[in-house]
Amino acid sequence: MRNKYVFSSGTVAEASSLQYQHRLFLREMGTLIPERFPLNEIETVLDAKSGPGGWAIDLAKAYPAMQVTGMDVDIDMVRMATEDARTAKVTNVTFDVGNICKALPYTSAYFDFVRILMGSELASPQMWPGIIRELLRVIRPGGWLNLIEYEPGPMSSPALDVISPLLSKALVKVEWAVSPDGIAATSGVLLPRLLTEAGCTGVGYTLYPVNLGGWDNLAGRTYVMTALAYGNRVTLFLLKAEMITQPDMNTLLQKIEQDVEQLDFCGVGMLISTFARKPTTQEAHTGEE
Amino acid sequence: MMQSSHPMQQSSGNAASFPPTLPRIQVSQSDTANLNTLLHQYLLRAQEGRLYPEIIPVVEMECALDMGCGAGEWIFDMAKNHPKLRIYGVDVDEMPLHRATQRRNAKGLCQIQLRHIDITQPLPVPDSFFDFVHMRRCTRSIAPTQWPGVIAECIRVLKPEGWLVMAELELCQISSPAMMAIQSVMTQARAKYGNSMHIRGEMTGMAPRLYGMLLQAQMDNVAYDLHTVDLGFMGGHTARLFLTEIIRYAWRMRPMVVEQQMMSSEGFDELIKQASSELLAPDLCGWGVLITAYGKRGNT
Repeated sequence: MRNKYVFSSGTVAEASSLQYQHRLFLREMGTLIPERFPLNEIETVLDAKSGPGGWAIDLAKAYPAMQVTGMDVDIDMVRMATEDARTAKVTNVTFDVGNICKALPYTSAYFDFVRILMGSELASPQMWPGIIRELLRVIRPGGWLNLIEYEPGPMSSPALDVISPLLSKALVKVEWAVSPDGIAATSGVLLPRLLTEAGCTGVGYTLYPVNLGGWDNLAGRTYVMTALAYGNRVTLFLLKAEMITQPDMNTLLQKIEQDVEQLDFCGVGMLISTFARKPTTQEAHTGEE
Repeated sequence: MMQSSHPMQQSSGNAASFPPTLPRIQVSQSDTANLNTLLHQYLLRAQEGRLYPEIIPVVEMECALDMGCGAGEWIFDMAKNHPKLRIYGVDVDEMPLHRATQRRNAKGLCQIQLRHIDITQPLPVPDSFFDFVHMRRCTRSIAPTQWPGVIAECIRVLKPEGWLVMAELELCQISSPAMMAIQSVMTQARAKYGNSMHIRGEMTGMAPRLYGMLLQAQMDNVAYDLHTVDLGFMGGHTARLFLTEIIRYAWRMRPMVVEQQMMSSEGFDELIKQASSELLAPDLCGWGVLITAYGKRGNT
């Protein structure tokens, strides 16, 4: 079990990059909780990987009747989130330290709605079935689970094309890859199967493209850079896995920055938002018969 | 005219030997035309039902060209919506073009003209002839090095202030490991024949580069639209038919894969069989993107 993100830096830069990510993803998804979930049946909410708390605080502000809980593995993130909530005078949100890869610090059947954004940063594909089981424990019968993964797609930068195979190899090396050759599916597209196998009902997914390029899309291009270079998450991971030397990495990052700064940069990522329902007590009984 | 030296086109000639166990989703021979319609509808649904970007004033236009028109699905839809528009369709592949011609004749649609032309060669068309040039899914017949030439040729035949639209698909992730492996093998095979820009060889890599190429060609109002292509069970029956078509296409590249010693023919057959069964999984999930880049020819 790991306590830290697979791409870890644990700095303030990381927090601000996650805040940036939250705003960009919100722009692309359009809502905090997708419309398919019945908001009037949701009171208790858990963001089980809340980072600096952007989503949890926004949700608590938008729905004052909800009780929102944010949880993160990094105590500094939890402190920052608590501080932000206090500054914004949002009282219906609290933050705890906890790890989705371990037993959750909550009683069974407590939450109506649980979400995780980019859980695969903490969880290897082999760990997901256990994680889903524990998430379902803290969800009430008939409650909802929303697992969202981000996957980078095609980009017009030759330097970025160098990063992705390095990353695949590094993930294979630390045994976090879905397949031994690193070319098979990511966890995002595997989640509907895992949720079905965990006994959930109403399993489905929604795809949201994230536009990263275009001359008039500074937000998208900035995200590519914060996620890679300035946030240093990927960089540190690649160095630690000894996939590339520091000088080579610096040269590569410079090239990526040049590519991404070009007005003709075009790139896309995808948010895979999978959703499922924990069977009601009645459904669970019918399923057992 | 057809370049017989191009390996992609050579291999597409002997398509008859598709293994009898495939595809698992039944598509009878007489339904091929139907399949083309379905796949067109599938991509059109991804494009939110729009045959072209909203900004393009097609109602004011007289004459359009569809490069790589295939069986003419886009053309027939355009003709229905714009009865006064003259539409030319060109393709290097004679089989679908023949079907398009039959359909045109049966419907008596004089506004449509179809020609057998290799779109990588100079077009037998005078300068400034079209108001609108459209291309969709042409990466299979145009090598990366040929794209700038093709774009220059499109701009030559466009009238001043005419529009060029290019839509290309990238298949990105799918929960079928065999399908991912096939994509990887296919792109490697293409790379060996000089038909891939992507270093890794997993994606074809053309779609995100079209936008830059249009800017490079100094077109005006250059932009691109993104559309999600759902490859999983939420994409419905058509998504599976579409994947079946991808497998069929991969099967046609088998001689190249074996010749390049990337895989044994037995290994490749096994992979195709496995992919065909994996894409029937009830919880299949996957995605691709359609990138539509477009721009306007300047006044000069």
